[in-house]
Amino acid sequence: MTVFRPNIVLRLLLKELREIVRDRRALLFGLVLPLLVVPIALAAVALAPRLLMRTQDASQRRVLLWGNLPGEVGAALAASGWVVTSRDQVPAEPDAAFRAAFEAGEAQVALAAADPASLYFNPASPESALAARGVDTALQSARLQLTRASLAEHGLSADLAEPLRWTRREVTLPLSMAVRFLPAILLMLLGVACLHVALETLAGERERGTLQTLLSSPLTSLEILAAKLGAIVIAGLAAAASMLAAQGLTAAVLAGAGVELGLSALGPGRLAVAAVALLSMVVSLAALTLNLGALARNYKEGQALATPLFLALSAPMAIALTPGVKLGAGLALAPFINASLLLRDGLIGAVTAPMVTGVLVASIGFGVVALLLASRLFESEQVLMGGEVPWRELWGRAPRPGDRLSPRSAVLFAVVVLVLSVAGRTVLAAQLPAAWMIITSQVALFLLPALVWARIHRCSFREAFSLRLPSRADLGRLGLLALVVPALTTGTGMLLQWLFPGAVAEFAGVMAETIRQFVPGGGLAATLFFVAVVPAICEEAAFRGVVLKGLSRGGSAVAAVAGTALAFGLVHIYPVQVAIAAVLGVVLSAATLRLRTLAAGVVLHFVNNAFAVVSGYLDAPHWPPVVTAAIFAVGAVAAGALWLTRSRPEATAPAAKAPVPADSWRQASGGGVPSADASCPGT
Amino acid sequence: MEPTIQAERLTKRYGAKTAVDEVTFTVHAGEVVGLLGPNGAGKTTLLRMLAGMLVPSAGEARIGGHSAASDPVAARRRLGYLTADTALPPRLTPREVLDLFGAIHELPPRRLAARRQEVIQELSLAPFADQACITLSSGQKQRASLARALLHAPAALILDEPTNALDVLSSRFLLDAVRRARASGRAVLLSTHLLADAELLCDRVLLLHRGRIIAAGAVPEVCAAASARTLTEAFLRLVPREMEEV
Repeated sequence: MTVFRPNIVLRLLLKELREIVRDRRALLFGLVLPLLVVPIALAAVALAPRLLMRTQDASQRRVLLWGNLPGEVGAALAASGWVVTSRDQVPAEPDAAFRAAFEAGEAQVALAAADPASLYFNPASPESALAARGVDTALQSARLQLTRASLAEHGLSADLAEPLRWTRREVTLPLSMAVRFLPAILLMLLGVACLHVALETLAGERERGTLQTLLSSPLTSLEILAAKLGAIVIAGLAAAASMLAAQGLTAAVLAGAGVELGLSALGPGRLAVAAVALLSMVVSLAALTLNLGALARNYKEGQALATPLFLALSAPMAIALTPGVKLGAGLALAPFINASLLLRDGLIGAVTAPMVTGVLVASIGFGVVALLLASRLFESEQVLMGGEVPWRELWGRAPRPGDRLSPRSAVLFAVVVLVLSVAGRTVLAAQLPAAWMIITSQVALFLLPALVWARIHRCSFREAFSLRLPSRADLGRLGLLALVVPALTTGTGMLLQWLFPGAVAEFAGVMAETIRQFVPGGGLAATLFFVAVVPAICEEAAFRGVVLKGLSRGGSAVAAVAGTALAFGLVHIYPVQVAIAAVLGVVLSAATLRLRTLAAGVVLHFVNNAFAVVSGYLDAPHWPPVVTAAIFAVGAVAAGALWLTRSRPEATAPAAKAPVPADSWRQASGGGVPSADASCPGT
Repeated sequence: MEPTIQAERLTKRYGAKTAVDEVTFTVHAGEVVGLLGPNGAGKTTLLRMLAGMLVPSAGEARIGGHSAASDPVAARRRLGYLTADTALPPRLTPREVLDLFGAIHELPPRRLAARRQEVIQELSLAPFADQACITLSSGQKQRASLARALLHAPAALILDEPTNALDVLSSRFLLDAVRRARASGRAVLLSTHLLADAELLCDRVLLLHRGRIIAAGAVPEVCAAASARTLTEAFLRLVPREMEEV
């Protein structure tokens, strides 16, 4: 069954891009609008503080003095250019009196005599806030004069009043002001650009009837949507490039006018981080608008749906504008907020490489998940044919005869798990102790997604995870395989040691450290539980469950085993571990397929991990060669015994396109090529 | 010989409403079968199930031996589908559209170039083959759409009211193309409201009403069954009583 053809997606993508280039509105929203808006916004941000200061300087500063204050206070204020209005009595309600005076424009600030004296100002007004600072300075000056006079009266040196002298020099960094506002501006403009393309390519196509033309062609919904997502991303990146160009031009023009934005100080490193942030922002926006476009029946409806979307986008914008909010491990996973903060902090050089990677991986993960959701949405007949869609039925596509875990679903699941595990484990490792990190990551990143995936595909857990007790003969084979596994991984490790001694030594150090974290605190039993039992269950559910089951529907057991082993290897991140896990994955997958039970994968996985734990516990690198030889000898004998007791594959599976194992699946899902009566499980 | 288009007890339900009710028929190679019926009879739903765009609630649709529900891509490779709703991308030219759909059907480059030239010539697209589709007249658009549907030389052709909103000349042009498709051995399922066209063109007709086939056979057979002289008269005799209830 056709699933996903990259060459076809590329052709569709080129078609989308050709249409976008010929669409005047797309060019307006994507290229022209940024060229107009960014310079205005950037110039406003750069010039606002200066203009405010000038306004402040130009306006008369007025202060009210209530009650009997020392004469030095009024003198100091008058000397600083303040218009001073004095009243003998402090009003009965000073707050109300100041409010009235402020609103009448009589004063920006008031000072009431008391012990201590009270300074009234309006923090919501920049002028009043600045005036309060000015009065504060004048009061300090008055206090200094009073102290000096008092010291002089007592025959002491006036210098004693001022043991420390300083002067204040204001150096505004325009870049830091600009970068605070830049993410918000870019997010809004990129949102507009992505939204238009998404609505035009999805809702617009549905409205014009061109979507039906595509749907009547030999294309899958995933291919159509992948091309459209690609087009939205490329359009968004073009808009981002236009914005950066506008930004550069504005900076150059302002520099010519004597206003330095500080952009010339941006080196290649900061620009690279900014590029990653923009890519993440665009991918997230494209993912969101793709779903919106898939949902809307026409362009106008899409615009109506976009209103709450843009209101929602104001939240990350506000967070990115809030001083003090830092890009941490948690926020790195939050779409839009992560990219906004990365852009803000990246431009001032306040990010680390793991943060950049985390944001990028999280955004790509968000994109993949959104593509899957849109694909799901796209398969709803109501949505597809433009009918009224009850919200509760939005995700309930009509079941097809082929409903079950398919090779396509297996590949998508592997991608999702890979992205989730890389991002999730990075975050969790920074937040949790090792034991909790393992439990949380295994359950949240492997077991739960596997259960959800099986449920989405309408598979019973018994079928999806081959929950079947092995026969006695199979138990015997499993026992023999358990003896082969340590020899196999030891041999692979030795081969890698010979090929890449440095990398193996580094990895061995990491593993030893991991095991050391457990053993002193919880002992060997706890270590075995966390490192061997938990991963054996959770990872096997994901890989020998969903991935292997889905790939096996493609009809080729070799491809299913190889694909599962590759995915299982990649999820282990460290290159050495990737290689060892991939080799192990071949054995686990083949055993699960042949013995038709997930228990095979779980047991062998446990044996492998437990062997690694015990090896570390017993200092394997210093074992005498005879122990290693014994491991190989036992493995070889067990492999020989397996060969001698090998059985033929189950005869129930037809040779060509049959899934492996096939029989239970046919009963559960309505079969491979259905008969007329059994064609639709929904009936 | 296996029929090119096959519907076997095809049913589509929307909640309590049954849009298509256990419809069974076949269309063989070199045959034009007319699908007739009043508005709301379920014709478009039936055709969409045949094209794999809607999943049947029961029964099976097969195109060229492939199930349209469980393997829609394989079925659509053998199908040319044209309706009044299947529009062309407005900012592409007919030539670009043909290139795109040739690629979608995975035609090798040489074969694509040859087929493109053939359909441009056959449907007289040359004068406007390089104009954006949005600038074309309705007739020109429909000719370009038909070229798109015929490009990959499909074994089956499904046409859903293809002459809707076309003038006489454009309609005639399109129906001639259908005749040529039959002559070249394609199985054609033609849904139309124009009974005169169906009478002239179709080897057999299916009269669909309220989701069920109420009459089927060659035009003279249907006319005889309804004791009518023309297909229009037969249609009016078979359908009117039920229409009054609508």
